[in-house]
Amino acid sequence: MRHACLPILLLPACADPNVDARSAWLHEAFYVQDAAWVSRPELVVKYDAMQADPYDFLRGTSGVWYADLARPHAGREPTSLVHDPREGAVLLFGDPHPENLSTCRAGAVDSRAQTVELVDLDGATYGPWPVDLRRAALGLALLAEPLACDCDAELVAGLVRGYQDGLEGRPIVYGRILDELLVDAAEDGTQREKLDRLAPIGADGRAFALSETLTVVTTEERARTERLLTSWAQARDLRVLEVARQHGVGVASIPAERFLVRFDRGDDGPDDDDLVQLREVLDPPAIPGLAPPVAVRFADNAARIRSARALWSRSDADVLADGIAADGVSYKTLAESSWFKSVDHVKLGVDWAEGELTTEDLVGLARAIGHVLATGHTRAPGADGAESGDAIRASFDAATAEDELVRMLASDRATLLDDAARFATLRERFGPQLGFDL
Amino acid sequence: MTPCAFTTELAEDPCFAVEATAGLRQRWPDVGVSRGFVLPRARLGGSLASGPVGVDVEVAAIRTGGEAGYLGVLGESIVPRVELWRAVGVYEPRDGLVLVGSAGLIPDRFVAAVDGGALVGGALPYTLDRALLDRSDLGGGVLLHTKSVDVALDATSGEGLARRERNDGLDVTAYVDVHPGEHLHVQGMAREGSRGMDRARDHRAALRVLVDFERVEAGVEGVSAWGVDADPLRTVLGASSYALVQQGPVAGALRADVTSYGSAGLRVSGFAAVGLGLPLAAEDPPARVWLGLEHGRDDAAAAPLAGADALARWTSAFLLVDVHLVHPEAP
Repeated sequence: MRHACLPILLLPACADPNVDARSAWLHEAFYVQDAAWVSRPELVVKYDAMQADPYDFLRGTSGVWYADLARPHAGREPTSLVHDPREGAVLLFGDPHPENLSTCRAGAVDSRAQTVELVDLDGATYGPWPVDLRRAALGLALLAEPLACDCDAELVAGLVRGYQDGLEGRPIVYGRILDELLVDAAEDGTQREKLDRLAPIGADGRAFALSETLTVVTTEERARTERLLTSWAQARDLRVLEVARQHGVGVASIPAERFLVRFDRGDDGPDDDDLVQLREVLDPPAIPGLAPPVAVRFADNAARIRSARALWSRSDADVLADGIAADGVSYKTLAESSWFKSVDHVKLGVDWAEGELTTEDLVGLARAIGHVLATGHTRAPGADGAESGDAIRASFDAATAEDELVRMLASDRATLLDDAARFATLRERFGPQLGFDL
Repeated sequence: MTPCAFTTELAEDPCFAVEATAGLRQRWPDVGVSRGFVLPRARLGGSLASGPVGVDVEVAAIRTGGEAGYLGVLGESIVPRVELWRAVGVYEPRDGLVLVGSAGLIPDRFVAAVDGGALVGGALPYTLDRALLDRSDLGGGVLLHTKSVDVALDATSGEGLARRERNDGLDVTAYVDVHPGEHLHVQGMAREGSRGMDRARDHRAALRVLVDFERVEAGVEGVSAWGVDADPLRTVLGASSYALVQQGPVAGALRADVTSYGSAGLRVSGFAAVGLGLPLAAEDPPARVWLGLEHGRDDAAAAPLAGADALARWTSAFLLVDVHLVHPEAP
């Protein structure tokens, strides 16, 4: 790469006068987002996934998206939905794209009750509520992008309608996509499909089926996971039986350290076995809201994850979910069970191609997401410890929200697709890890 | 300024320094993030010299989640960061002329000139506060010191220590401090720099006038940035003025800042504070308790969330304890 080295102040300094401004900023924003992971080879796997699919690019760029939202420049789309300072410190999901929506087995570990939640709370922190809606609208549009349904306005209308339903306390309408997912989850969950696949019963009893994506833990990892899980298991009267390292799961968090844990409730046989995922959690992106500095509300990311469970419509949506910390690193636990099934944009694409999915179904999904967002925003205490619902309800206007979100979506989607193309070019120029190799 | 850690000068004797500012802040509108323990500054530094050569080290505590991140202080998210780590050599060819060479993680001289002690109630220097300059960078430089003028030229990577894997660029910074009398400093800097692996322009020019009398210190400065956060098209203009008055154990501080983000508009902020030195009888007290009020406002387009005017104004009251300890004390 050639740089124009200008003889300034008697020494050659090397700013590139021909640099593409957006690419340069994007490259830096990727570094800031992924700085904690630049020494991990899995970062390339994450970038491969993001380059292969615009939806996965969205999943892998929430930090970049928020950084862009926060930059003070005249081209930003202004919101007119926030009128009360309390609306700037609502507990948000942070990354409410459709694939973070999951069926859950609510209640005890042997319960058959179900709910649907945005289970991934990695990005949860305080911020202005319209930001969650904006990010959700972008996720829905990217999900619909390959379907060519030309249905942005309908999706936004569904999202806003669902949000209004949630604010007004109407019951959630899941729609066909989630209804079918709930049926599949109940069926596979009852049959313990995931447990039997990942830890089948063999001649010596149940054990992990080790593979490229499920490997033996090192001695250090075993000791660390024991420290992490001891009090977690004791609090639930569980016995940890086996731990394995899990690789290549998710998109944004592919480089995160992840373990699969097999446990039981005391019986020696395999029938009471179950699985939980243990995953490293980093700082969430800073969501632009109140002018910094803002006071500390979470001692660490484990505390943040625990607090953010208040966003779920049922506090027992996943009784295994928790935030735990050891050695200065935070982790979260989430049930790894067939009862927990997420929306899959690839599968929806296939269903669409086969004529089994309609625009109405997608709008139903959007409406459900809107409802889940509103329920979370109003249910979870804001930064002041009080419910945020009154402040949001006082400001919310469905027509204004719809107009604003449609306008922002057009801009956000164009920017994201443009950024995805720039990302591919940057990888060509700087290498598969964008040149962040240590 | 004490010639020890947190300065651009080399201490003549081994010394170490501790600086910390901590306290409580109440912010309005009160949205729950208002009341809280704050730790805007915590630094530990030391200098070790042997004849004309020495080393300086400085470590500061930072919030990993950033100032907008709601995380830190009580958990693992506050971590130490090396802010300065340099070797220094001093050569005095003749009376009144001193050459100081330094290499390593060297301080930004324009920032360091107002980054020591309790100049303005423990507040960060304006250029650091608005992230227009960094506290230090990886590289080397030479300072020529005379009775009335200091001139320095530094060559650094522009990426600091934490981003060392990208340090293949070159920033060149010229700095001058004209001090014609005992009480006046006119300081200027110009940097031709780049940021990020694409080497987006990251140029700076800044000017400051400082007056320093026995009981009054005051300054006014302006800075212009061409290229911010690796966006070469962003330009920022900023200005800040401040004053510190001391009479016995009592001190008063004022500061007003204005930052222009081009067509996005302005951020205006400032504070007033009164401080009480501890112990009460000390001439140059190692600790001060500050009680102050701060106010800020953004134009709607320059607010953290564009258009959210309701989030763009804030007022806060703070009670801070500012500690600055140096051992051994300078003569």
